[in-house]
Amino acid sequence: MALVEQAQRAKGRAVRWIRDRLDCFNPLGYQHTLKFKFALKASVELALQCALVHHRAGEEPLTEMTAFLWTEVFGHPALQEYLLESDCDLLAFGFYGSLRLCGFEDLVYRARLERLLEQGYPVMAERMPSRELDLIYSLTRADLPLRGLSPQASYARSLLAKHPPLYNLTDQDAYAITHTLFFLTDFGQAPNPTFSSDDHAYFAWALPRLLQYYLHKRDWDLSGELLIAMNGVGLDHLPLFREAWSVLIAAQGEDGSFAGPAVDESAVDAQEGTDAAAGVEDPQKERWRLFHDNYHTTLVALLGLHLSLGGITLPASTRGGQFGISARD
Amino acid sequence: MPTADATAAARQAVERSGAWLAGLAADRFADLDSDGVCLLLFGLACARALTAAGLDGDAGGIAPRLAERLAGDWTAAPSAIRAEFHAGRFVMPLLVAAVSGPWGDAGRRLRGICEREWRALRAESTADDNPILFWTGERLISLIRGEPPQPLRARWQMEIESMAPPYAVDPPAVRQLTAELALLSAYGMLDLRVSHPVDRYVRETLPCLMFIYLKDRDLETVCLLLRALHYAGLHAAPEFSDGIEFVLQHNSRDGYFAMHSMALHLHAVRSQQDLRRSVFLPLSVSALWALAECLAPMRAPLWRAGSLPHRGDTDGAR
Repeated sequence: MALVEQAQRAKGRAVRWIRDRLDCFNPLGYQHTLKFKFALKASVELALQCALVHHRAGEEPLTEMTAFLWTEVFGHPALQEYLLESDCDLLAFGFYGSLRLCGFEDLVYRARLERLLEQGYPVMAERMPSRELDLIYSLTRADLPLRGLSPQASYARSLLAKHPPLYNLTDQDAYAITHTLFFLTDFGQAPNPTFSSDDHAYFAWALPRLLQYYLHKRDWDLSGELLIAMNGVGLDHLPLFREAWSVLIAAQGEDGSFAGPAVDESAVDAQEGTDAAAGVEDPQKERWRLFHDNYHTTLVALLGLHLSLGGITLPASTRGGQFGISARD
Repeated sequence: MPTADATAAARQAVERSGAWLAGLAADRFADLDSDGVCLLLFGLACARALTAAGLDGDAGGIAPRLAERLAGDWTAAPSAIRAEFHAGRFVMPLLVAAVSGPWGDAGRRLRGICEREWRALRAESTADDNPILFWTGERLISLIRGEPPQPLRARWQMEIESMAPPYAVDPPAVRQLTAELALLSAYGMLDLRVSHPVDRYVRETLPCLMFIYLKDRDLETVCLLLRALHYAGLHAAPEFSDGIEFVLQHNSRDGYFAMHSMALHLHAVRSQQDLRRSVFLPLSVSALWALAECLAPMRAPLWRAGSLPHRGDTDGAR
């Protein structure tokens, strides 16, 4: 089967997996704080997915998911209060910015965000450069003022801009690199003209290497993120790009999800007072565990399928960028 | 190619390592098994290649005694060495015999026993079962006889011709790949002659594999890949120098080569295992072999074996 067809099928299965678990994405459905916070982050990431796909030519909007997030999650007053008053400003701006791009608006919430920005704390707080770029990205998408923040300045302070040697990079460093590229290229949808030729030379050397490494580790999460990042800096013409997509698609589980890297959930277990070693099979717990382990990698793979392989059959002119595979195939 | 600094650092590391091997040999002389003696002998031969003046003191003098001990073991229990050959575990004995030139009469006996057992094995086996292993044996026997290396004439479908992309190559596949390159290049003495697609595969894959295993801090596989890069002539790849530096960084102050030392220490505390024999010795020999071939190829023990015209049995004093 051709890669395009494989991608379409994989996409459909991943969307179904998410749709069947929308309740898991709702933080308001959990009693425990850690699960609440985990699901809140997941719901904001799902909103981002919806926003990136919403206006994309040839892609069916994820309408059901977007409506769910708006009515069942974001629209809940308690959740809005939590977003605005707790220490989670990235999520507060990101959630709003994504849903706004999907056609929703909440002027009262927006006014609260504007007030927060006027007070200054969100732009003053110390953050890793990749997280600062996340905030800048969200502010831009929400059409809110940057208040002195600058993507160029944040990039200059980032790990990626320093062109680090690869041997010592941790997984967290690799995430910092992919996220930096996500926010500077609108997840591969807009080439960034501010990258220097040295930057591009580094990307061309480092990103395929890291992709090979994480494919070798069978870490589909970082492999997927690196594929999206490579698409964003024009490395989608490499044979490895297509090979890696084939590998990733082949790794999709029968249920439609993509397995995430092994994670330690002992903190959640401890809070819930459950004993994993007891071996008691609890369908709800198993459902949570699958969601916990796989949701992020599934979202990453789905986003990659939408953004870097989704438009493969469309003429390049309809895709609004120079990064489409179709232009080179 | 490695810098002069790397070569000097390697020499110091190798001198320490040679002394460590000699110390282990002295401590465990009575109770070491034949595999352990073979590893020690081959390691000492590699260490000797990297030290211009040879190994000093105990490190220089222990090898002939070990060779005598091994020749005695093999002579006293011929069925044991025959069983090893029949089980396909002949590569290390043949490697030892191939580098046994400096060990006088003991070396002559080791070479004679290996030739005899190889003849016996060949009378019963063919290359069909495991061509790489069989032709590796043939290659080493040829070196033992002092014959100059020749390009391989045998032809079969090698793993290298249908190899997976680097991200799908695991350590056993790296071992196979290295064995094939060693065979084709006669341990680096011949230029690698392969088809264009295989050449391209090797050039693209080996540096990438080295990167992966360096990032994983896998000393054992890095040592294999260093030799593979050397056999393929890829000395200019940055990963070749990175690999040498990595190996040298894992030379302990005591002289052995190791990785994940804290995990090993904790494991040893629990299991009372002798890490020197079970972990440090094989790793140190792998490291010394890689360093000898990559940093001093023309003094590497197998090169010396292959470049001596019909060494015969008269070179014991070398």
